[in-house]
Amino acid sequence: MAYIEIKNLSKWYGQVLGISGVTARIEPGVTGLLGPNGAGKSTLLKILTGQIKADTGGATIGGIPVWNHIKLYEIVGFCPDMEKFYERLTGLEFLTYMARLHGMSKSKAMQTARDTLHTMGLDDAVNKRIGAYSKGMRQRVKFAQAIMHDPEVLFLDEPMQGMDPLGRLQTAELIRDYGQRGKTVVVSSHILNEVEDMTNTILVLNHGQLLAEGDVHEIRELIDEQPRHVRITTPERRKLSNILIGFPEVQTISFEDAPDELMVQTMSPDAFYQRLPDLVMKDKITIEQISTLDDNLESVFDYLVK
Amino acid sequence: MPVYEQTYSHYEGEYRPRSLAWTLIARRGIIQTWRKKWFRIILMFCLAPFIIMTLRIYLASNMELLNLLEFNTSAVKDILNIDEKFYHTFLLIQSFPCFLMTLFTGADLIASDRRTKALTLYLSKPITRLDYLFGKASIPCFYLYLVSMIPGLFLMFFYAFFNENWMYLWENRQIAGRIVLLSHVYIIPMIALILAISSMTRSKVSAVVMFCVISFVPDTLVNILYNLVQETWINPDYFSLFSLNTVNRQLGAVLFKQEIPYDLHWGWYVSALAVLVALCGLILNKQIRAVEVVK
Repeated sequence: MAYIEIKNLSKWYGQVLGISGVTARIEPGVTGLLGPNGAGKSTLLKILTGQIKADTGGATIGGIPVWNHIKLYEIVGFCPDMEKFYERLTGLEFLTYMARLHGMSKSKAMQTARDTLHTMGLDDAVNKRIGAYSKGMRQRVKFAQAIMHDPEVLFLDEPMQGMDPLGRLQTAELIRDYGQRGKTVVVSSHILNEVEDMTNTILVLNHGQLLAEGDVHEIRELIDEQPRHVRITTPERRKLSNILIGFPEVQTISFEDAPDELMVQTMSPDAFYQRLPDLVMKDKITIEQISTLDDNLESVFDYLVK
Repeated sequence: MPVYEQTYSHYEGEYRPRSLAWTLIARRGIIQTWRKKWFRIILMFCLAPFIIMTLRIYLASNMELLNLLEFNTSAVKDILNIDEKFYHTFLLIQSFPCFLMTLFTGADLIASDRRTKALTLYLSKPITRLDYLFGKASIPCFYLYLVSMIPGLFLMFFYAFFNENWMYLWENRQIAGRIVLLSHVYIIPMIALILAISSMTRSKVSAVVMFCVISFVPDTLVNILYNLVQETWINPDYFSLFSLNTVNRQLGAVLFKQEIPYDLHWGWYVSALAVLVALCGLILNKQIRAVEVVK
């Protein structure tokens, strides 16, 4: 059994669609929740964190229904998508307050708050008011409140928005680490390479419906009817294009803006890649670089949504 | 796809009892409000009548001092008469400080959480919506007690103290009960109203304006309508049910056995307050949600 089970989940706000008929299984580890704005990512996360009730269907965490089980929220951490909060409180005060809402004693809450601020690299900002924090620091303190009680399940809504590169790196590492410890982490984002840094397992939502789920590469197999694009950097692009045009698996060839780049569109990338050594060995073509443009989440997402 | 060991387990440690979750929200809010310097100034202003009333009790308990100063006229004696009317008058005066306290402590309570989307922070924690509401309601409630019920009871205590007559407290326990009741007649609807208003907006200013309008405009309307229908078949007293201040005044007069301004049974006024609180409850139930629908 998956740790999080979502069965035929639908939520409507009057005439406005939240999510519709979403069924998914989320295993321990990190799962990316992808989709454009308004796709239903936040609605799904709010249902999973028990904040709103689904109109139909249901979801369970560890076999326990998420709606109206207050006890369950003790093992759940949630990092919402919000920018301003508790400007007058210091980071330490805010986290202590949040820990106390989780039921910790005052001394334990304060110690946990300090430890978590340290983990998030906010030692210098412990006694600084949140109002004076940078956007990245706010994100980190918000993230800190989600992980401070060491939850078994972590839901993160756009957790890296506004973070500096170092902060992103640290946070991504922390999230990966959480996943590797057997915890279940669901990260929603519309910045796809962000998710790619943390996991290959994704759920793709659009217009409130689940478009795809699974490993990025498994999803790629689902969209095999879509052509792949391979960019080749070579000083002999005219000579190379003359050879490539004779390959049956090559659909189109186009010259890129850069003088040494050409773009190949193919339906059979594996067959195409098998021919490349011959190009070098037999035809003596110099190939400086090959990049497959569709192997990132951005392309997968684009294919599925369009 | 990575396969992980199923190592997860439920937390088995000690947690605070669920029933006390709201106290954390209340305590945090009370402390945060107290930290504001301007708020402490307003609170002092709200307690000014209490200081004056205490002085009246002191003078009433020390008539020889007035004799010495040759102030012991019949008019002064009337002012210094400490009876039910004295306590009723004090609570009538305190209705405005109660309004101020409600406004300054309650207007931004839920509006700020909606503005910053902090509601999701609360609702994703192991606390219920009722915990959240009780916690928030306790903040204005605490300060309203500070300017109504507590000083009212302290006035009784001071009278007993200045006169060294502790039996006074026992003999006048009904007055103490009326002070407690009338304070709650003020406090409960005002808190329900300010929370409902605060939950309907993201702006503190809007909440302040709405609360002022709902508090004062019906007063004026009631007066106008009352005079308009004087000569008709309509009983003008029914209009008094639509003004919170009028309802409070009427119930205060009933409780302290003073002359009632309108000739309607007190049950009507209690019902009016119950309807108001129920309406506010419905609004809060609808508004305290983790999502906002953008149509």
